[in-house]
Amino acid sequence: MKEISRYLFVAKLICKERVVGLDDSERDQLDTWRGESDKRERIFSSLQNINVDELENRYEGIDVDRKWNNFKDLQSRKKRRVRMSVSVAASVCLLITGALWLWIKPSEDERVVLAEQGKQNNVSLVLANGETVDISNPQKGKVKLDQGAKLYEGKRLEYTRADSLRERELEYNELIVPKGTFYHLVLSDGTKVWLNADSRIKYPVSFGKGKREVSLHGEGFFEVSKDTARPFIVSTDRMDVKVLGTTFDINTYEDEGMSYVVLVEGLVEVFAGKGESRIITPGDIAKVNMHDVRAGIQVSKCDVEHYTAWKEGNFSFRNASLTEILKRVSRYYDVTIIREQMFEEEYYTGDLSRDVSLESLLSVIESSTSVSFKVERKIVYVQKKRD
Amino acid sequence: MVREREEYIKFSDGKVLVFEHFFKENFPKFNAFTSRFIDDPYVREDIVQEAFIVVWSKYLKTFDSEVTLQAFMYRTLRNKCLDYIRHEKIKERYSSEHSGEHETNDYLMQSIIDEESRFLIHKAIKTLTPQVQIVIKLHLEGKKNKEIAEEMGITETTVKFHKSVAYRELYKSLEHLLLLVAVVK
Repeated sequence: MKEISRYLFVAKLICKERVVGLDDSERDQLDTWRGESDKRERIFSSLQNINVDELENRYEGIDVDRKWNNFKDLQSRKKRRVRMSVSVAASVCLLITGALWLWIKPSEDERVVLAEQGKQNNVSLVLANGETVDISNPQKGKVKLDQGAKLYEGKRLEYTRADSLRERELEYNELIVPKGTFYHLVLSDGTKVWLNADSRIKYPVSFGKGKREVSLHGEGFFEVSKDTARPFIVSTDRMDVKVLGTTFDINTYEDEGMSYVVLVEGLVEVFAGKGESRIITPGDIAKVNMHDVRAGIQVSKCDVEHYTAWKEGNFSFRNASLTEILKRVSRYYDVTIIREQMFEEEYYTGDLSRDVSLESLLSVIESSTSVSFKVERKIVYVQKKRD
Repeated sequence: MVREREEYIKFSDGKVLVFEHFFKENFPKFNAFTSRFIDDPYVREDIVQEAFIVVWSKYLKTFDSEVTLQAFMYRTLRNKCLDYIRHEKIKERYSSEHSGEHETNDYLMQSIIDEESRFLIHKAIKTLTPQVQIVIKLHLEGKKNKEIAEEMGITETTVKFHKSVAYRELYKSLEHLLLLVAVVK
């Protein structure tokens, strides 16, 4: 940004030079700038003969009043949509996933574990004093929690201690959700988080007066409470997401070596790599490559509903490889997946409700692919279909 | 819960800018700037509108000054244009001529300085009366007083007079520009 401000400064000098001439100190500055490279000198000399009629065509052909009306229409449409979609106060939704799957090229017909069953099957909470407690079965008074935390039936944990606006050391809790289950968390500022299977999140028991910062591994859907004075930041391994506004849905997903944020409403700023940052607008997806440290943030348009389908309890695949689909099955049903033979990668698009049993889900996949499944005690064996 | 959008952009030095003025004054410039990256006028208009929306959002950090705001707009536009080009390239709609150069910092420097200088000159000239505008126009095309006089069918003295009027006016209109220059330094 500093760079661009400097360009604007040079443009002002050039304008003045062309139109009324420069004083000595201004001329010194312009000459110094020009002298630094041939490129600069060329930029300067290309502005020596300006055709005013061309300028007239360049800048006067546009009906700015009409553009302004278009802009206002666009704004009010957006506002209406925002009002409808955000019935749950002003909120931000954020979905973050962070499971990096390693893929080692196997030889033909060798058994390969595509995805493993989770090592633990209880939801646990690491308290501020470092103690870990099991919160899978909330029975009143049985589980010791930090002050202000409350457990509810139906996999729900809430923090109610008011945020302190005084400077002090923050106390952190960490919620760990295993494969095969989901969890709902409400932070002390009212921010809601839906945690997907195989995820963990670390957050202060109550936030301080500065920025609200949490860190996440795995996947989460966030509805962030509005507070412009204290920006909400979600940090992950390879990128940080800063919530600049309310009324939108961000969604970062780290999958197959890619981390990403999908924005539904509002505004977020994504930080990655060596100080790169991008502000994205609704409908955008910002991706960061997990393996290439030098790779920048790529932004493009996307189908938002596809990326947030999991929160509604659905599987949504867009050109997803069979391997990718099976890994997701492992995560949601907490099963190990073993590939018995090499199969050719195929790509599928489709939407499925996740309420179905593992067996019926597998039979749907089976019916449209070239593989078949055998399930034995939490292990799914993948084989090629016999002709 | 949704507050009405503010109609002003506030700078941290306490100055404010009416958003509508900022929009109307700069739309043509930013639109012209995007033509350095993308040909399709509809795509360009979308990009410029989107960039204004980003600024419009009151949730954005406040800008230090109008210079920062302008810089932010240029950066946002350039990024959106490059995103579009990359996306189109994936769809193989763009030929290789659109590769490389657009992404360089040199291209960005050239595009911004060229666009901004032209726009400032245009704006300054527009403040003048028609007759004086013609004199300055010919002057900027590199013509001497004698040539200008011949072309306009007036005497050289009149040309000089018009020029002196023009300079007085231009100094006035560029004064605020120079104040901004002082801020940047």
